[in-house]
Amino acid sequence: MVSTSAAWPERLFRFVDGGEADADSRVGIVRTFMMLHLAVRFWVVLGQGSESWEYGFALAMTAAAVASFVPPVSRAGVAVAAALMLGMVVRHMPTTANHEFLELFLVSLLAFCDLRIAAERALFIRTARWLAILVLFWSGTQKVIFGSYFHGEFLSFSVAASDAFRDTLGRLLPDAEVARLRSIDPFGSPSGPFRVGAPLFLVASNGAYLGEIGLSLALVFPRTRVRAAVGMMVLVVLIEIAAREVFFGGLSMLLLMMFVAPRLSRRVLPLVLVVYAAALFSHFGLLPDWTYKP
Amino acid sequence: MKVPAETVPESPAPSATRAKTRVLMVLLGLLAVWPLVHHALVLRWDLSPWHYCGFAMYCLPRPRLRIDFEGGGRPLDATIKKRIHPWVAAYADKRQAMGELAEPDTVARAILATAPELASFEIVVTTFYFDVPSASFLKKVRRYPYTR
Repeated sequence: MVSTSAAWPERLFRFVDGGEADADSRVGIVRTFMMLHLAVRFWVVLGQGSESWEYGFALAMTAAAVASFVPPVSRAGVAVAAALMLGMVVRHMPTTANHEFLELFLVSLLAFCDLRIAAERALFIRTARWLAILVLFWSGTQKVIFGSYFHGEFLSFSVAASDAFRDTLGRLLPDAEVARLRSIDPFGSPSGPFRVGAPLFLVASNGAYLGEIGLSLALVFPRTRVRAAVGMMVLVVLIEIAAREVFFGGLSMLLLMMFVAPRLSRRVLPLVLVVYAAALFSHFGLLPDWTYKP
Repeated sequence: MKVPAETVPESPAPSATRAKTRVLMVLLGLLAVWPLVHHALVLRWDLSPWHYCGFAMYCLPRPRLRIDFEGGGRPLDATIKKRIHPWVAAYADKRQAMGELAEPDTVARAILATAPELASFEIVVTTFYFDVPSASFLKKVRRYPYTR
């Protein structure tokens, strides 16, 4: 419920409230997801060139994740995870990825809010919801501002440069067009044009930003919120089939879970965790290699 | 999957919650306008749309870079190039993220240490960037002169 006595920024902040009755379950699911996400992510970024401190970070993050499930030390576990994430963000500067900032924000938010208190559980949910809305809204709006989706420019380049995009979005283009795009030398001068006229491809290209902007705005309003969240989850899955940023997709799912009933989140969570487990096992050679970006 | 049942504080300290609310509102407010600032930085200094929380991933291809070295009007000796490779690779990553805000001073220092006979040289950074109106990669060359 939005208080009429609060100043307008706070009324706006509270506009995304709702579903307080099961806030405990919502926060519990998100905390479980986040800690498992971080524990897995810190292992899959390790590779041949990794240094010993990075292995130490991965071990420490796993310990912090385990601690977060043990009531007497759960808050300390989350706080340690936030500190480790901050260390990772600082260490990766100036090439820190956006999803690392997002991970830092979320785990810090978990540590910052005292989730034993109902008002702070509500504060956590409110903040995470706005974070989801802002990230999705700006992801779509930036595509419009850069102007690289109206004629399929960015996605044409992606079909040319990435096998995953060729095997997915490339199916919406004639074979000759795919061959033309893939023959372009990116180091030529000029090198292009990466622009296509296939109607279905253009629908997909323009649908990407329209979906992100439209659904993010629909997340704000109680009447459209749940449908928008489910629609956005479907869009995230479709995007990740091509982009294969498994963990960014996972983070997006996590944020969207703040909008849907916990019983739906409980159905989505195991699916995401299966994908995470597959990524982890594949990373350590226990499953066949498959292409994804950590 | 509920939050573990820890000891709930007897007094929820609403003033602390109010203070936290204000902090988070300010942070979200900054995050709400930052992408516009970020966009301006991308246009002005070629900052990467993929980095620094502008949420402009998948808007432009990452630029391709070529980094060359010229000393006395000639390309730098291959042995020197091989020895300074780690600094060049690190700079290329930094340059991709920070654009023209990243100057190749670390590479220059590595060259000066590796080739004491070199009095002056230039680091030539060629950026193949994506030009949206032509939907093509175009070339931009920036030369950085250094003297001992």
